[in-house]
Amino acid sequence: MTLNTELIWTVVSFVLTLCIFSYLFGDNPLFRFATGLLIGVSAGYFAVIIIYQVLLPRLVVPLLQGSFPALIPLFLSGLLLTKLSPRLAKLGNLPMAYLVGVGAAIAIGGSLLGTLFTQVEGAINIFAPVASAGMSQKWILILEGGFLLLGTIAALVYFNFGGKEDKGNSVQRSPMVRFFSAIGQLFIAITLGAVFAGVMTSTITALIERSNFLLIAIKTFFGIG
Amino acid sequence: MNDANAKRCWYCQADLTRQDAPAENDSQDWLNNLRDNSPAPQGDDQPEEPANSSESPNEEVPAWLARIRTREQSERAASEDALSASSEELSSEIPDWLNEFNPDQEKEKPDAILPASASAQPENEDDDWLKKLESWQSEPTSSPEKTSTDVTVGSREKPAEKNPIEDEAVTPPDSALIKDSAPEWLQAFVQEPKSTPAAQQGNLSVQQPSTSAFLPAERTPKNEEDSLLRDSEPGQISPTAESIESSELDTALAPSQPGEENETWLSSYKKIHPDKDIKEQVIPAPVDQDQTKAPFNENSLMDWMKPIDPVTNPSQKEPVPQLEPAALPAWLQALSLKHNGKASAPSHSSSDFSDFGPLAGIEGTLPGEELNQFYKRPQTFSGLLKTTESQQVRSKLLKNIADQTHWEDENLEEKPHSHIWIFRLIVTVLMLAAVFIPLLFTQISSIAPSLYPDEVVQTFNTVNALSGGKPVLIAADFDGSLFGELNWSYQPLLAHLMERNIPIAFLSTNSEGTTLLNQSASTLIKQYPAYASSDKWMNLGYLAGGSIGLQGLAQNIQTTMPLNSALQSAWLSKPFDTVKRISDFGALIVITENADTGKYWIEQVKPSLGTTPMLVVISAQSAPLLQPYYASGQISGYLSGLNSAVAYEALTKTPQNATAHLSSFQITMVLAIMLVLIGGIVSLIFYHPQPGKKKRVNS
Repeated sequence: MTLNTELIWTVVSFVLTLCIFSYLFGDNPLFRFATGLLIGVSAGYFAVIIIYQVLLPRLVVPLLQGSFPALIPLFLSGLLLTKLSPRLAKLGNLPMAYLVGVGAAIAIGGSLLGTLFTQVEGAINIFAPVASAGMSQKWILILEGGFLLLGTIAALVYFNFGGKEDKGNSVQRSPMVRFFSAIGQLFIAITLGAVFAGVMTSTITALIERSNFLLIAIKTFFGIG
Repeated sequence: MNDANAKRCWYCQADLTRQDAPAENDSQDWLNNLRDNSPAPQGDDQPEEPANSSESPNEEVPAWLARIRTREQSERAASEDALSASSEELSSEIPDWLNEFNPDQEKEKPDAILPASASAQPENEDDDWLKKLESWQSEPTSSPEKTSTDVTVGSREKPAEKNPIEDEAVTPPDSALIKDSAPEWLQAFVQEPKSTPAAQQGNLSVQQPSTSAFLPAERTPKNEEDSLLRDSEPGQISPTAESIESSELDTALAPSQPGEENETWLSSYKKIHPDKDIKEQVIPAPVDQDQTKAPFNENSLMDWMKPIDPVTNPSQKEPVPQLEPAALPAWLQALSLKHNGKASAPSHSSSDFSDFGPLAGIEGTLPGEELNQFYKRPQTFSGLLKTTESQQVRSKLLKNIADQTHWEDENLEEKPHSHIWIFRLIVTVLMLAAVFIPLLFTQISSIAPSLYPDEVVQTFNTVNALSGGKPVLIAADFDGSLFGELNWSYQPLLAHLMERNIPIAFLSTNSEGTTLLNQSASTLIKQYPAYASSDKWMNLGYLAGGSIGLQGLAQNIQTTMPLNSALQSAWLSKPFDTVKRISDFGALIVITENADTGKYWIEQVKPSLGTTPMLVVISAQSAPLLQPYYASGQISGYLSGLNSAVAYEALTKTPQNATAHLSSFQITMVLAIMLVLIGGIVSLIFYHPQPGKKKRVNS
């Protein structure tokens, strides 16, 4: 067994994995050390990435090449740094307003065009294949489409908080709304269950991957296999 | 006015019993003694000659020392006089039975009752002098000269007109006689005024006349004449240094004019008011130290005791050297940024000090900002929340819904779980056993899926449909938390692309994504030597800006990502020179563990892709949230978790890590499902929600 870089990183990964697994016995210094190291390394690596892949190629290099439009982000970045000073913080409102405004506009536009309209269109087109399907498939597609439509409507009804005030000063939804909201609650519960199953699948997969790594590392350390 | 039977003056505490006063002859005797010590009628301009003459020629004492001695003797005499005045009071208080033991006093008593007319009728005499006192008090300033004459000791012409108070003052009894005749307890009283200045202050009306009684002989011509007559009497002792010095002392302590002094004294006596504090009216104001005469004559002092005169002494004219400004030590100056290694006096300019903040006034600190400018008056709002009726209705409805969906197992949280770590350990051991046993024993077979998910098949078909010349853009938006799962999930897809020799450009909106993807791809690329030899793998690096960056990438990819991670032009070399827009890629593959990230890519970039397919490799936990986008046709397919990877490997017929660990995954999943079911059943059997719990929640 030669001492090379790969082996060193294998040892480091092995030790850190065991530190993370030590959380099995509760919070302990080894676990805190590993998580702290992860956070610190991630932050430092992010700073290096920002410098070498953002500031240098997109601000410094254009400025050195005489690109005057690069002065605009430089000016806005300088104003953004004034947020560090309470006295000059007002100057940073301009780039901050630009970022928030543009970000909100892009997010809202994307949600409308990319999610809302397309999802509504998708819910409408559920029954589109029915027209071209055969007789045997038609009922299946209609049943499937109806089921999806019911789930979509019921989930939307569940989040509708409209109601009327009765004589006892108690607000109650109409019976129809209560019926669909109960169905929507069922669909939402199924969705959350599916998400929980997905979380379990993901974590078990990660556990298997790390366990496989530990096993390979042990075999490597002892020269087995 | 005092009562006729009063023995003491209510105002000045003076003794009003005239019969207790000493006899004239007796007073004359001690007055004669005082005259012996009284200053001679000499001018003030010759104070030194008698002193020098009184000294022994063999004893050469300096003048200043002689003055000190004479001063000490004069002070002693004055204190004895005050003591004698106090002892007179005490003698007046001695009862008759005690006076009977004093034969001398008993003999002198008839003679002591002053004039013959007065001695015949003592009561009338009391009335007379009381009347005089009354008339004298009624006209305090009408006849100051007469008053001064009455107070004068040497005026023998009118003894009957003496003020009884003044008589007390000027005729102090012999303290030695009192000491001899009085018992021991009385002797203590005799000595008491001597030791307490406050008592002397209280008897100021008695002592002050005694002090002034030595003075008038020098001042008024009449007294001067009397003094001359006394000097001519036989047996008269010539004025000694003590007498002269005592006169000087009295002169220094007393006003310059005896008449004025008596007038002042009397005026202060007249101003006594019974309604006010007698001490405040009797005790004189403190004398300014500057106005007091120095006890030493500067001319008589030795040279070294004289004050230094800078004018006469040239050596003292030299200016006092200024103190050298303090300087920091060299090692401290070297540390100081301000001094910069140069030794210099610390400057105290106003700019070196911070005027605000907790470091205000400390030199060398950075100037703080005035915090007051940041404080503004908080905006006040009404205490009442203004809501419409519809809002109130909706709030009540939300409350009703929340009450119905309360957690019934809240009570479990309150129970102490002392053995929970045991259950946790058991579950862990079972899970690790389920994971490691299939890994150690490879002969344990797994159940391979016979049906493949539609999204996986669509993904496979999409990749198969890609032309070899078009590169694929991969967005690696994931971090290290679920890298193990995603690595196994995207490996068959990546291997499929490499197998088909499709160029790959990858970027990430996460700083770690490109690094992790590059690491896994570098391991995978070794399996495809033909792909590794070509430049079909390009790292575009980090895409900043989040959704804004995605929008920019969708609008103009060459402007948004002009350089690769090696800071080289990304779009000039083949095979990526054909990419002008994002739609020029053969496909867009997003690898992420977060559904929101996948949603951002779909929302921002998909509209710009046109007919270019979009594929997603996502974690299994986010797959349900991405399913609607696949159902709506926005994405062409996706891979989620290990199951999708196994299916894709089965489609590509290249089993890799996903298939190799499928047995372990399936056993662990079965075990996890069983634990969930067992836990649910146990909870259903042993847990009974308390009836009051729901009431508390609803309330």
